[in-house]
Amino acid sequence: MKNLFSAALIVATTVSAVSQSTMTGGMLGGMRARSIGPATMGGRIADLAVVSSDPKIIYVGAASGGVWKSTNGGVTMQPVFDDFNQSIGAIAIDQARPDTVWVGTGESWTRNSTSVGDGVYRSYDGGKTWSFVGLPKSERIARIQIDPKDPRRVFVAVTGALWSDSKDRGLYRTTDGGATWENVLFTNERSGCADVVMDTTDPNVLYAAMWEFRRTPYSFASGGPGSGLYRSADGGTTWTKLTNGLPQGDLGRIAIDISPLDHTLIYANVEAAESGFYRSTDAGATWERRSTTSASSVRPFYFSRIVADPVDKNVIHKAGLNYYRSADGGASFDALGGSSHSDHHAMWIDKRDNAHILDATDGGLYESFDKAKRFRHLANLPISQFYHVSLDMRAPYYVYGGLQDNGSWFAPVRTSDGIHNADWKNVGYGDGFAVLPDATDENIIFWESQGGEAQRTDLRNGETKKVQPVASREEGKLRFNWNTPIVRSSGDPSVIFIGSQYLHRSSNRGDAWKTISPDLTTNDSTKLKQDQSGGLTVDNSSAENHCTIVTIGDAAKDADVIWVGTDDGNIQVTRNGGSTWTNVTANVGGLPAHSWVSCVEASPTDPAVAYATFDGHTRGDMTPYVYKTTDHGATWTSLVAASPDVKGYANVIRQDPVRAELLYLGTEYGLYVSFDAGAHWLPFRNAIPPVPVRDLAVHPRDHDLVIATHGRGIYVLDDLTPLRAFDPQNISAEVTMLPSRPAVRRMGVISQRFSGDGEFVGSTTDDVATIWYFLKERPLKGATEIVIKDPAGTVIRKLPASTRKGLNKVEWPLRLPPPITATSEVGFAGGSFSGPLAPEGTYTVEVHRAGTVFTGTFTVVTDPIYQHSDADRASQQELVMTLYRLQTELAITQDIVLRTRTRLDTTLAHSEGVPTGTIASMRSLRDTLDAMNKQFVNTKVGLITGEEQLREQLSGLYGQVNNYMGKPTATQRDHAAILAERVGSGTRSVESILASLLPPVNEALKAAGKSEIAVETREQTEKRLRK
Amino acid sequence: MKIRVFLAAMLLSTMAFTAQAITPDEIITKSIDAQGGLAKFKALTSYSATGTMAMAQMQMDMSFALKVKRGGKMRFENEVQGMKFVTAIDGSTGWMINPMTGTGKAEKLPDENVKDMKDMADIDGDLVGYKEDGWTVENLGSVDVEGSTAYKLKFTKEKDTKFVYIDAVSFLELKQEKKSSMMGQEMDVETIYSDYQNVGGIMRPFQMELRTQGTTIQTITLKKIETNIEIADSVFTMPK
Repeated sequence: MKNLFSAALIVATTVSAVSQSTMTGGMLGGMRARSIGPATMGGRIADLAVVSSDPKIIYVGAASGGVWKSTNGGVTMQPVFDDFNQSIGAIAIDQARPDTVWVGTGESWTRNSTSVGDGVYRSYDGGKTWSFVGLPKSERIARIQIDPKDPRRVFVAVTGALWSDSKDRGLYRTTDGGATWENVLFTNERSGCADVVMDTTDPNVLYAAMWEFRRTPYSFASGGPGSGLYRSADGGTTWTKLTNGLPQGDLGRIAIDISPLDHTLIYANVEAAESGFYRSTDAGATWERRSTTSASSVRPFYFSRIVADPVDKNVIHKAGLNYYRSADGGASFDALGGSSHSDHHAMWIDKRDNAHILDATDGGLYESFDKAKRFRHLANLPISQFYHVSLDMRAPYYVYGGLQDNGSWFAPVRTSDGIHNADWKNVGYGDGFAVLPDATDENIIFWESQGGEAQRTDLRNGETKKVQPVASREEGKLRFNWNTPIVRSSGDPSVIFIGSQYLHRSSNRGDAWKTISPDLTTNDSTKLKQDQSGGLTVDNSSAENHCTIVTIGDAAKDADVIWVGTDDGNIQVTRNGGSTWTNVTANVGGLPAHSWVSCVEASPTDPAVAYATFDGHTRGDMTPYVYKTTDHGATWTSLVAASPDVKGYANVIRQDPVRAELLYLGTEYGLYVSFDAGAHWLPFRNAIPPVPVRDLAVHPRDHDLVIATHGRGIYVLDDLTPLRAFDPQNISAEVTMLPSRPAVRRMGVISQRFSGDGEFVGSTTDDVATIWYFLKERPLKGATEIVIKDPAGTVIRKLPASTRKGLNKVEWPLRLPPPITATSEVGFAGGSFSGPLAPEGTYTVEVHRAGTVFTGTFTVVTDPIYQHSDADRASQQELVMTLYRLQTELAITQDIVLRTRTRLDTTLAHSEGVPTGTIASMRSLRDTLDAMNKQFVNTKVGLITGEEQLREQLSGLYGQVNNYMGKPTATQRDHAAILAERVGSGTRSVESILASLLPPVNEALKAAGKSEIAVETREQTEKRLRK
Repeated sequence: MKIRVFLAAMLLSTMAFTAQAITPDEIITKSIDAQGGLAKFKALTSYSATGTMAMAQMQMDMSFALKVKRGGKMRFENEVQGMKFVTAIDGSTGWMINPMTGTGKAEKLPDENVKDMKDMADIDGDLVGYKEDGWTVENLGSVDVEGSTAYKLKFTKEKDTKFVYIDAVSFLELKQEKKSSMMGQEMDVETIYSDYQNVGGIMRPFQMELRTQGTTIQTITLKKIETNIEIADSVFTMPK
């Protein structure tokens, strides 16, 4: 058997030589992204589903934040879809077998910022595991309907491609549980299925809405001949277009529902030249228009869900800017919603009580118990959609960013007890994008709302001033993108830039702007007709603004080098601070014309180097384009041409400021890392799903990578130092030690919170030393141990090792081992679970692996937030060590007392032949020792006795001194002296009692032929206790 | 002959990462063989283990002693600052002694904890005799577990699910995932195995790392395991 193992291992090691080309993302496993939220404002939810037989089970599909599940009515939510595409279009539960759940990816609320899906998934175990079941090119799915009588029969409304023609759209049907699919309803390549409802009383009857629609980079059109309302009576094989009573001419998006109380009652919201709400009472044969209100006409492409009430035939719920509820069959709608987020997309009505509602909005999930008048927000979904992120230099530093639908926010990157919802502060309204702290004054924040409405706020009083540039007399109207770039110069932080079609520069916090470029866009008038955009329903919200600058980057090492990228495909550079500009787009080979420049990053280390990501998704091109130039744009090379594993259109690229070969790439499918300047890319999926990554920032002092996702909030990779030292091409050793940033000593912070479980709390960092190492193989056999030595070389701690293949992380809480304390059977010495804080200095760490020792070092420093002098800190360290040793002294004394008492008890139990006088002596000695023990430690049984003997007092004082970095108080010193005297006198008492009373006892025992009662020396006792 | 067959089978499995050619029972049999073979497991009547537990939040190691006897009997003791904690099951009744409650008396364990106790008390582990225990198994295919390739096996029994990952090269168990009740909450717990050593012919992991949501909460390091020793049944019975 052993031979087989050696043979197997030989093959294994030759097969897996580690080089960049065989490294997988899984080998970075010791490094995990940390999610810090926010969840206080939720994020856009596209669909939700509730188990009818147990409505505490809720599934929520976020627009680009995955599927979340609750089993306790929404008190807590867990992500259940994190291995898959995070853009969710539809969720359906097979209500007869509620562990069967279908998910259609790709949001169908087709706003400009929407993401893309990749097909249909299904779980048979309530979301624990999922299988991909088909329609990979569907891009977005609006609804799924499952036949209640035959769960293998499922209909999927594929709305399909938003930015291109496609054959893969329309209504699809499977009759074999997803093994095969048929496209049963298709009108043309510009139209998809926007809704489908099955008559659950007769599953052969279905209603489907076809929708012709298209988005371009600069326009949106809803409506066309491909739209229409259809009915099938034969299970979807043939369809009849319904027209009687419905609007003539081109139709837009249609929403449908069937009343669960009367299957002949059908409701439809129809976008048309005049949009309206329609009702049929004869199963779709004829229709009447019930109303034409804003409930029907505002943004039908975005608000297109109707729920017919399960209790009252005349009640209808409609998604809209408000929560619309009709009680008269659609003739009129009340605009409800309380203080929930506007922009409602889907709702669930409780059939046991139609006053109880769950509502999915742009601000997350809300719950009402009074028919949508008042709502409570469920603040446990960290599904915010960031566009950008910025960092400041405070300690701890703060993270700033703007959100789709939800304004501008900032929060600290760490706190002592987690990043709570209340730690996120709001600073701006509308849709948020760039948020910048001022370079020198932490109270000044720049932020914006959509279309470049830049503002500056003073946090001390909330006063806000608009600082958006205005066209000069010579300039025409300024054009600002929906997502206007506002960036701080990396060379001179007092300078900020903003981009319209021109580049504007300010050095006085936006009070005045200087235009430092000509029109850098194509200025194509055919792309400037946003006032006509929308199709049947005009929609000009600045979301379609085009021919604008969308990315700006200047070189840290040469402030005259500034790069600009535009949405209409121009990449331009100046080398003289804006006096002249060069359009280098033509030099980028292999790039389709007019590819939106999503990011231009000037290298922080070399002014001639720049990186650019291009994004063609708004023209239907989902390919990632990532390029690099080393000669100011004269020539470019593709960084992903040889990397088919990089998926999703590219949004952002950053070069590490310390190690130029280390690159970070964010695409619509997540984060990728390269260790070799882009030759190979590894997907990074450790504790972060494949969620769209829209921005990245590296902190220059703390060396973190901060990741702004569009759908799951902010993630942090704490400490890039090990990645910077790690060269996958040269991993030959079994163990490679890697460096880390200095470990920071801090004291614990006391807080008391009983906020319940209903709030998402982001994780924070612990006050530990982090040890990093890379293992070439996963060692299943043989021990691996970590040994930590203090600056003097003394071993202070041994830790079990982490044994992943690849990157490993072990944490040491920066404290010496806890003191050895006297023992008690009834309670803990609460102050003594921690050792003293380890002093500053350079420590050694060793990894012991199968007989070989690998060595590294790390430094320990104190957080500068503490104000104590060196002398004060030294006096604390002196006293804490004194109390540390005193506890051991007492432990040794008590151990001697207890062992001797036990030996006396044993001897007394077998005392035949022992003189009665000796027995009396032994009893008396035993009782004396017992009484002494009762002074040393607590012995009263009970949960709250209030008892506090010597050990407990010593431990309490030690705990106090141990948790404050500065000089101990005079009171503490006096108390320590008193306790030291008691320990000393206790020790001496025990010694003298044993020295005087034991020898005569032992003589008598010996004479009676019994074993003597031996007492260990203090040294022997200490050695045994330390083992 | 044996070596060639084994290597050939292994090469096939390393090449066919996405093919489902290997059945779950084949994987399980290979794993039991890699761990020592069915006969050795069946011959096991009891074992006693000592070691230390390192809790992630605390900086001390707590020593523990574990005794397991065939028939679903288990006793786990650990000591902190002189206070002795006991958790045990005698085959059906789970109980504990927690000195923190102030009474020092044994109390019965809540049902959701008894389930975990029964798992710990199963001397055969997850793979040996799984059918007889009422589990069905499915091979979910090859997955990456921290850089190594492993077969992911899904075990189902009524409402319970657990996952066992078998290393595709050595066929030793890499990790287990299941729901556990901790402090009244049901959480997904991963147990990662390493430092396999031969104890009486059976390969046993001497280090186990427990993680929830990717964060390590506890590392268990075994110092010594003795097998087939005499342990009285009374050791596992709840004292009055």
